[in-house]
Amino acid sequence: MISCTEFIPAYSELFTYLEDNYGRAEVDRFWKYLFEPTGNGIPLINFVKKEGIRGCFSYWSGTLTEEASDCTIYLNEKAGWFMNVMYKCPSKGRLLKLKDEIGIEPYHDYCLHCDCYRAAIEQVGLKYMYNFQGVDHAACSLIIYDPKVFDGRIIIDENTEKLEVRASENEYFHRDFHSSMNMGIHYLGENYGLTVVEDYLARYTKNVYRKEIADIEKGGIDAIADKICDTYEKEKSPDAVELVRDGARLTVNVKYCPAVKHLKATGRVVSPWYRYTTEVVMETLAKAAGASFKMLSYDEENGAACYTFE
Amino acid sequence: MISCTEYIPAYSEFFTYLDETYGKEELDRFWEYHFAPTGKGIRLINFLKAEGLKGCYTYWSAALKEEAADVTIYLNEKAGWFMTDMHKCPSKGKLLKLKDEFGFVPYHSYCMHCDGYRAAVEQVGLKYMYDFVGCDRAACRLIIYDPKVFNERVIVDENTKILDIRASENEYYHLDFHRSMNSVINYVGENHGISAVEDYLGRYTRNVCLKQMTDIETRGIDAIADKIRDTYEKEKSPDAVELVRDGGKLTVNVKYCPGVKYLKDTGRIVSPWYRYTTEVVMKALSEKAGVSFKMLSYDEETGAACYTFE
Repeated sequence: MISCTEFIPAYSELFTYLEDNYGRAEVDRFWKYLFEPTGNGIPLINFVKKEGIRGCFSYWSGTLTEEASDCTIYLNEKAGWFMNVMYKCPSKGRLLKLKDEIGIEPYHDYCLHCDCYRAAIEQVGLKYMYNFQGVDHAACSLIIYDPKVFDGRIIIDENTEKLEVRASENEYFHRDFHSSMNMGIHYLGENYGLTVVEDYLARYTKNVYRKEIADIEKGGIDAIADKICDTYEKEKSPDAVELVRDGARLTVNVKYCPAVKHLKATGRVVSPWYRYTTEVVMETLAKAAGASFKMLSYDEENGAACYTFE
Repeated sequence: MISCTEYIPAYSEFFTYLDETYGKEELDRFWEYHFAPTGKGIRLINFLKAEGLKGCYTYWSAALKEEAADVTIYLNEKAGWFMTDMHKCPSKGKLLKLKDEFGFVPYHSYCMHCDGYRAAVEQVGLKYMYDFVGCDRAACRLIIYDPKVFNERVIVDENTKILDIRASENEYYHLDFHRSMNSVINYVGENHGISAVEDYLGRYTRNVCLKQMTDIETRGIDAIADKIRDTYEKEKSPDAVELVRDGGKLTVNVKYCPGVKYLKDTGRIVSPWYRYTTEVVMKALSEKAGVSFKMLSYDEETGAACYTFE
């Protein structure tokens, strides 16, 4: 499992991986798949089907609070418009921070994936206008409107609802990123097979966990143990994992996978490829430590697993 | 003549006057008249007809420089969109400054007049979307697009022309405000007669000019003389006026009116009501100074005039 708090660089790396190996058109195909408004993936479609344009406000006010954004969200149902003014996008902001910290390059068109919410919006007859100007500093704006009502004027009046979301007031913890990770790995596995899944996840681990790998190269298995504990702490599920150190061996007992738990709880189908987000990442870390890695068991039903480093 | 550099508060006062005296519908009628894309008034329509979407860039890049705006202008002809990102509107900024300086009250919906450009834009088949959020701090955003080309994504790419205009780099001197003043005074004169013209200009003088002339009651005619010199200095036409002080009398010889000159030079018809922008303002100043005012002559052709204070 990759923690939902570490999903964004995995996402960016997946875009880069797809483009580097299969071309830009493949990134677009993946986005189309990921954002397809089936009702089983990104939940925006369920909100707009139920609430119309208000569904945009309900959906994004939830997700952008969980993502600890700096943005202002507006809704004027009477005038038929919704707007999100993003001052600092938590995802792009995180990627820019990682670029500064460890030199990892964000996917060059990273922000364009947000255009794909369009599919859900247009399915219910609304219009979607995205302003990507400012994405180099993690800013953007989005207007969604009902073409039967909107008169081309965004005016704050007594019918306008406004929500200020501030990063400093919220915790960065958006569990539903597990669904995106699940879909990302499923896409790769179904379309390209195990070798590509392994290739991508190894690349992610080497690029994104550079600091951790440097620690692991020095600290060996103990540093791996720290990394695993950190992942489950970030996931707010320290109870899900038990680490046993026995001489040169580290045994990791995962009682349940918090991501699988979230996927099941929200009615998603867990991809058969999902297990590799643990297996390949851990194997890559083991190699950095010069240790061997063994996956002894993995329960597809709840993500419970047992693996060792030695 | 009201200097083009002093036009904006006169404009705001006119909106307030119309709304208070005749209701909001009358103000909407004025805006419709003022922005009617006839080719003889606001020139945007001429640029659009000659250049299409690019005409927006040509028109506003010049106008907003002359108005010393803080704005970024974008044009992407290939993708079919134009955008102005107004960081600080010089007009609304000026009104807010006057509010701070002497309690001037800007018209509550002042910024809405900018929606009037829509008429010209739509006449040539383009679409106009105005985001007025932020106008309380003199910021706004305008997107104009060609619905046959634009894919609802504003993306800055290699086909995007960007112009950053900074107030600090330009002089505030937009002569075409004379055209607007001429339009304002013609509308009120033609529709409501001389008493309304006098009412409005008297109100403007009281609420704007006299608030800035704190010494008029103590210095009398000398303060008026300073005001007149200042107006022609601002208009960059100090040669157009000659002031003769003879004991308790001030004679003002206007050789030509820079406002009238500009209107003629740009092929506009000078309103028969335009003269009152001098006559009524000067009369209101004289009343405050406790002196008499006489308009001895006024040449409709050039705006040349002779008037006295005593």
